[in-house]
Amino acid sequence: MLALPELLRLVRVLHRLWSRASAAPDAGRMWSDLESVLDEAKRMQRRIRLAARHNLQHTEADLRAELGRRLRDVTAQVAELGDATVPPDPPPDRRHWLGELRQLEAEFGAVTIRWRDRVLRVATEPVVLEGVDLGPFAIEFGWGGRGLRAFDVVALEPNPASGREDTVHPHVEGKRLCAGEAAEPIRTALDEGRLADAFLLVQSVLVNYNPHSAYVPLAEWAGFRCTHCGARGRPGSAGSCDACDADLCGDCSDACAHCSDTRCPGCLESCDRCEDRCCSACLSTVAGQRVCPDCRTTCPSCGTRTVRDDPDDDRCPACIRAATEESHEPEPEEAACVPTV
Amino acid sequence: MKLLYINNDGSGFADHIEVDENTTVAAFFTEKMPERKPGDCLIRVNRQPVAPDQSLQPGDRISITPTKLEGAA
Repeated sequence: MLALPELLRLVRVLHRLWSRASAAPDAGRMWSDLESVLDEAKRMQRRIRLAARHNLQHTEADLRAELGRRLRDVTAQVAELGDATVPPDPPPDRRHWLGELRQLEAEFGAVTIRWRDRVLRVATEPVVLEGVDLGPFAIEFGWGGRGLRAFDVVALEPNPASGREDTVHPHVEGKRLCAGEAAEPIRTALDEGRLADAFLLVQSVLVNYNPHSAYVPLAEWAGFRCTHCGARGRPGSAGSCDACDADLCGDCSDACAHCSDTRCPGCLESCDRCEDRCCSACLSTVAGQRVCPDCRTTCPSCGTRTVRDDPDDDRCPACIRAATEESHEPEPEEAACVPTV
Repeated sequence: MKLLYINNDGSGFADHIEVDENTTVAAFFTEKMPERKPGDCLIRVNRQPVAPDQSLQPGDRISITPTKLEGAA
């Protein structure tokens, strides 16, 4: 339970903040803004008449469109001025704030204040959604630089989604809650100084799960994220690269064309001859080319490793060339042969 | 009799309303929140938990806060 001096100090702070926020708008400035927009509209009307007189049809059309926009702004400004004439509701008094803080303590068990950070904090019970234990959460209301609508949600025993350290709840990213259908009533509660209701509404979002709009669906919470494309999948829905251990989704999982080992696209290279995608273990450099086992051989004539040009001939180019030249040389017997009559 | 009714469902609002004498919390809830179950809401009278058969008193502050709200991403 908050000690009385601390409680009263916070009451004073909250009273001052809400009194400031509910102060009447500056009607003098609003009138002055409205008059300047009206003056500008009158000037535009004169320019439209001039454009019409000189038969400047395009200019006239542009000016009329612009005047229409200005007059619509005037309508909005007049409405704002109308609202400003209604006296604002008086801000909640200190008794109200005392009640809010006592209720907050009763609902959440304990309230802590970090004066230096200007933060008021409560903690929830551990949250378990669809069997996934997300641990307890702190709900923090800050009255510092982000106005009076700033709630942060902090996981006290974080169990983030696999591969997403900043997602500690299906509806929380970083420390920001995406309040969904609670956003509007939270805003209303804060506007009216119903701080305890606002905290309870934040809690109502944290203890529920909307599978249709989640940063990470709970079904994939313990799943993996494809290292290559970032897609998330269910556990066991795809393998991992045998070379670099990267987790792979079905679309990014590939295999060496020669040995069939699983590889990510980054761990496969194309054979320079047949362009099959192979792992580095299956490719060898032969005569300056990276080739797969099907595209390289050992020449049976000279024993050198060579790139296979002809699937039916394992000889290296030098041996093929030598054999070809040899077959084109005239045979000595034939050359000496002289036809006899 | 007059009550301050705070509804944290939908857009949320707080308003002073008239209700019949001896209206119980359960009857008030059924009338105001026909689509919600009592178990899915926190009902507080003068900031305190209440029994469903408790009768409301003039000047009471009754708040109803749904406990099942869908967040988004």
